[in-house]
Amino acid sequence: MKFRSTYSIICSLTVHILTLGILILGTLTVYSPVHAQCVEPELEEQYLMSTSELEMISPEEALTRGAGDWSLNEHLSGGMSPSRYMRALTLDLLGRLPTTEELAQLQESQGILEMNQIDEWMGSPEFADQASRLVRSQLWNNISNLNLYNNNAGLSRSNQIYWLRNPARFTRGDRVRCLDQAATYDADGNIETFEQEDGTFREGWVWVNPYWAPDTQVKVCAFDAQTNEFSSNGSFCGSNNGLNRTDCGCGEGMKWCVTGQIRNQMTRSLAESLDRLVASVFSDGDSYLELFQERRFYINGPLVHFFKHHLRLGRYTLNPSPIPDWQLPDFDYTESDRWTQLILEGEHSGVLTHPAFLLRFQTNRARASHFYDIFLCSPFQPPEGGLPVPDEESVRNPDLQERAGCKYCHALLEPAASYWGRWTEQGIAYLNPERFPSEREDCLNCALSGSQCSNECRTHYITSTLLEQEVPYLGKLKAYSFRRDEHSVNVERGPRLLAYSEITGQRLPRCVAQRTAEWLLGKNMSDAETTARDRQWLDELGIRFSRGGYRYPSLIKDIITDERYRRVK
Amino acid sequence: MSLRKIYCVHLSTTLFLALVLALSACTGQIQDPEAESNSQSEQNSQQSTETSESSETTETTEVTEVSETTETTETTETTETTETTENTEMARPDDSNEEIEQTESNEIEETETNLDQLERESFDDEEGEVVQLFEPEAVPVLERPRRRMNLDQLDQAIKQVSGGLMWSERRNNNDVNLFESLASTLGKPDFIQQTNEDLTPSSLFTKFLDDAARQVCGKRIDLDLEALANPQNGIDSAESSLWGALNPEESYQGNSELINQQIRALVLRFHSHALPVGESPRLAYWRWLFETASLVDHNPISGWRALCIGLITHPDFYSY
Repeated sequence: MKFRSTYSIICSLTVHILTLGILILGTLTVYSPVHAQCVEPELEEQYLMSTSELEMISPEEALTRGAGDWSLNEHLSGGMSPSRYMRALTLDLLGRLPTTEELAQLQESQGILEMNQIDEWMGSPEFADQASRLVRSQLWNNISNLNLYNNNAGLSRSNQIYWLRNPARFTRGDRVRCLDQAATYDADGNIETFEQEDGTFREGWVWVNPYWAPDTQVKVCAFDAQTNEFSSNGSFCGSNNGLNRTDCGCGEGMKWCVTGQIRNQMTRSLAESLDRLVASVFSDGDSYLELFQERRFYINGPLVHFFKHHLRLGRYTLNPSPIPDWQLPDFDYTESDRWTQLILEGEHSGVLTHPAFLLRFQTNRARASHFYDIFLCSPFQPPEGGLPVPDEESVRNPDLQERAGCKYCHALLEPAASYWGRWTEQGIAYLNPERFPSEREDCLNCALSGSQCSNECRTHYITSTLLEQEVPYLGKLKAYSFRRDEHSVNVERGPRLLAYSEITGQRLPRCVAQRTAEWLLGKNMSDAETTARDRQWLDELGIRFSRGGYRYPSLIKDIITDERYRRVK
Repeated sequence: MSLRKIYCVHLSTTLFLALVLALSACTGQIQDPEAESNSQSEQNSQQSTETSESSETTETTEVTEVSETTETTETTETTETTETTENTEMARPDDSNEEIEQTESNEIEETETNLDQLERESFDDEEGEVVQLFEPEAVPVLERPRRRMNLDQLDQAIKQVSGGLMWSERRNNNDVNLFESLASTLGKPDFIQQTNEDLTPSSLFTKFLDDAARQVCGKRIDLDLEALANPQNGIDSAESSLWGALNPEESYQGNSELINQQIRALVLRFHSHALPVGESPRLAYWRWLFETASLVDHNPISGWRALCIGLITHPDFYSY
């Protein structure tokens, strides 16, 4: 009974409240300025849509549509207004807001955006910048944390005098600077030194026009400013070993030595070179696949100096150079903004063999793993529940393709890594098949006889083993270690073959479609995160992308015209 | 029909329907919850009695439950059964017992017939009609989440709306772009320590955006005032100015349409919202901000400053 009376009270109250609501609404209708505030922005958005010339598509019809079935002049309820749609497009494609002129033009055309306007945008350098920004984020293009140089080549500066810290042990007896006075020479032309209280022998300084500022003169300790090309024992002075010799210095114009700023300049230039390569593929409207088969290399003044003079001073394996000397243009170090492009030999595979990529991912496994993750959407991950624990016998197997647990990833990763077999790990050098055949007699001989192996053999060939299973690979290139016969072609043909094989398998275009959709839609589109309808849409996008000649703008058009892009949560 | 009329008509209709519904409930056309609960408990007791009487009846009741699920999907084929169910729901508790028994027996017969039909139709290829037994999965609305601009876009957008001004700090006689120097703090990846871009509109982000907006809007107003004070310099900042061709010292109380016009232009420039001519909710919102800020300081310039800061810190600016 009590319940029933409560119910009646609630009913009565509700009726009163609703009646009051209707009365208030009537009042608001009379006072239009106040009334305007009660309108929801979403309704306003719908109103704007209804006043445009866009053709509204019913939800039923939208259901029947797949990838590429939408046009710019169509819209769906709940979608962005034309001006907001244009804003999203310019932000994504050009990285900026629409201009006043573009917005005025849109209003004149009753909200209809022309496809040729989109084409114009996608042919602009701004679009190339946005696309290369995406690829940069995929390639993690930053090597500024690397010090490419051996410590011997590093210049220190004290009291405005430049000097080499490490070689000072041999020239002055300790890591100390020279005296702050002009250098003197004896009758034979040798540098005079003066014994100090600390037992060191120090010389004075000389004036030098350094390569990083050729129009200025700086003080450099006389030993470090020597210009000999070779030391008395025949060592090349522009190498790590040569700089330790007392009769070697930084060379003409200090060409073999670097400051901290020069180190940073080199890594920055290498990263920019990769960015420029990517941007050129998009700005020229080339096929997306050019990213993996491009032979162009962008080079500026600092990089010319690097490839001419610094390859033998590195901490990394930079020699043999991936760029032949004869191709290097005659640029000065100071021309950091002067860029030109070189066409390299056929072994180069676009971004996959660019020095910036090779230095960012320094092992072949890392290179392959990142390629699988970014361009094939197939990251190497252990299964749910973890990997099985290998038994004792299996643990001793050095071949990761067979060892229990490891083989879950490495059965695939090892052959994939071997595509980079002729590109040195921890370095950028290319091992030419003529100079570095898959197996070398001298390396095998020294490995078997126990005699001293050459530097090349020790660096690039298998000359020692820890286990019996490795013996068959002695004398072979390191990339052939535990490599099966059918995978030898991977080493010889390089990363380009990897890209080609994944193109034919459709995995690459489908993944490019997925990554692009993730960029433009701002959400994870992996299989686990999407519906069956979304997955089918991505499949269709991938097929259309490959059938359309891998034109990236076409793929983007398919995405930005789709309802998934035009309706915002 | 104008936007507000559409909205008000919809709202009036909704309220009227709600009123009718409430009146119906009060006059007893919709069952009292207490009565409904009584009815249900009686139905349950009736079912439990039947269950105890014979196991065969229990099995039949289970079939009825299955048929009800099926009927929900195939409403067109089992209209009669649906009506019966509705009658059961609307029935008064006093005279329910006999009717329920009758209804249940009818339902069982109907259901058995329908199931026979379904099976026959499903496997009979010649007739060519396929019956779906399960409710189809609801099709989700296809949309994307609202995205925050990245720092490059934000920097560029602020420069664009402010006529080339940037959020900066003076260091060693150089203007340092703070979007660049604070990039890692604001979530821009360096691809060494951090590889993913953080695009969440975090409190840290909104704090820095607020700083940026205050500085840039202040700079813009200083430049515009300077251009007004020194017209001989020939700097035409009408396009990038916040008040356009208006006099920033004047409140234009007698002619608010001039203010409205400039606010529409600013909303279009900052948010790319093409506001309709006349009143609109967004216009009212921004005009309220302008008028309030002007009133507090008794100076329309404060209104323009508040409008500029508000437009930059609004989600419609930094997200899309």
